Amino acid sequence: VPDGDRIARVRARDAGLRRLRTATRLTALGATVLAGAIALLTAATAPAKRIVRVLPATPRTHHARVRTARPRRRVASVRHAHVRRTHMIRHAVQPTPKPVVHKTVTVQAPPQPPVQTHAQPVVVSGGS
Amino acid sequence: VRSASFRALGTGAVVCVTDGAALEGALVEVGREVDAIDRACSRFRADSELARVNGEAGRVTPVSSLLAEALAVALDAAVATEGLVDPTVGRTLRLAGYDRTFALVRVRDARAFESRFAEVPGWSLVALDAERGTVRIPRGTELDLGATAKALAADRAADAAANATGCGVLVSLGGDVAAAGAAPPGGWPIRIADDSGAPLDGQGPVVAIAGGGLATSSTEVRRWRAGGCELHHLVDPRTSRPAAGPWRTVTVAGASCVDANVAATAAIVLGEDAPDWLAERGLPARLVRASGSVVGIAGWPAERPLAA
Repeated sequence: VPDGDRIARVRARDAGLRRLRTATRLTALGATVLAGAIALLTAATAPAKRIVRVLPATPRTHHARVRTARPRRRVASVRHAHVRRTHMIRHAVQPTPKPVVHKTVTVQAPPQPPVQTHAQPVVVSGGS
Repeated sequence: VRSASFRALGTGAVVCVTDGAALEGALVEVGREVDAIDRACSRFRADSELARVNGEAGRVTPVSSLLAEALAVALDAAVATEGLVDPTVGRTLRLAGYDRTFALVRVRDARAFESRFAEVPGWSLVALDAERGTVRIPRGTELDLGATAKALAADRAADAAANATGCGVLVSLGGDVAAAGAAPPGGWPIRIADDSGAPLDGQGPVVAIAGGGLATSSTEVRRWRAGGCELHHLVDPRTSRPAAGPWRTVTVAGASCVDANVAATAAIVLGEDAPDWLAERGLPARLVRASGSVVGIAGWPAERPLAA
């Protein structure tokens, strides 16, 4: 192999290795920054872990729901889970009034209309 | 028939009974009901439930069964009148100047007060849960139950007194009249006037009802001046200002006093279309134009001289 070709190949290999080393270092740096950010966010949101989200009531549920981020504890029964959730909800949010379903309402007429009379009135109906 | 009168809910109250011996018992029952409604529904008592609900706008507020009933009646009235009678007019009424009992509004210096008006939010935004006994109104909303609470008090008081005494009872609260029990022969005679404070032997026709309710709404009373304009308490929710229709006084007979008062108020607000609206519902009514001319609707008795 001519010397000129060998030198060119060695230079090309060295350049490739440099680029690979740079990319590796940048990746390591990025991963470190990301890990730091996650650690900071985790520390900052620790107090909010207890209740992370309050979902408003829906026409189906009629009550607000609370989502927790804590690891689930074992519950003795479905009722135990329900009571625990209800307890948390009652302490977290007030119940939203159910939407009032207005039935058709009409203003009702009397069975008999008033009649004219010459009797002495007992009261006066007027504006007040 | 025996009767007694007293002041209640900022107006005159009259209780009539067919059995004179039952008057005292009837007065006790009526007084109890009227006092309960006042404590629940008054806009001017700082300790009333309604004042608390208005003060906690935007939050779910627990209410008593009586206020829940009064609110349900007010919302039903809004449904039945398609919003012509709306309990969410409280804020605009207050800004317009009706911000204290009317006895105090009347004596206020008109030059020192400038009226303002606020858009009426609308009854459909009131979230009432009658089962749980809670209500929530939007932030900035104020309720006024003036169009229904007094009539509801009359209905409840008449029923309670009739049940307690076993005789016929007529209750009038500021001209909102409710009858319960057996009426006297010929019915309960009632004079119709612009002002419920008019004398019994004053002007106006006399009609008799056998039961149910009869109520009059008028723009001639509860009027006040503020700045350069004259105002009254019957607000048109569509404009958020006092109704400016052609009728000065409307009297309606209904199955109950609430029915009658809701229809009378709706007619004042509705204006020229009121006679058709009342006739469609078969509500006997007497409408008086600003000029004094009278229109009778749906079987309201013609006003002609009676033979002695």
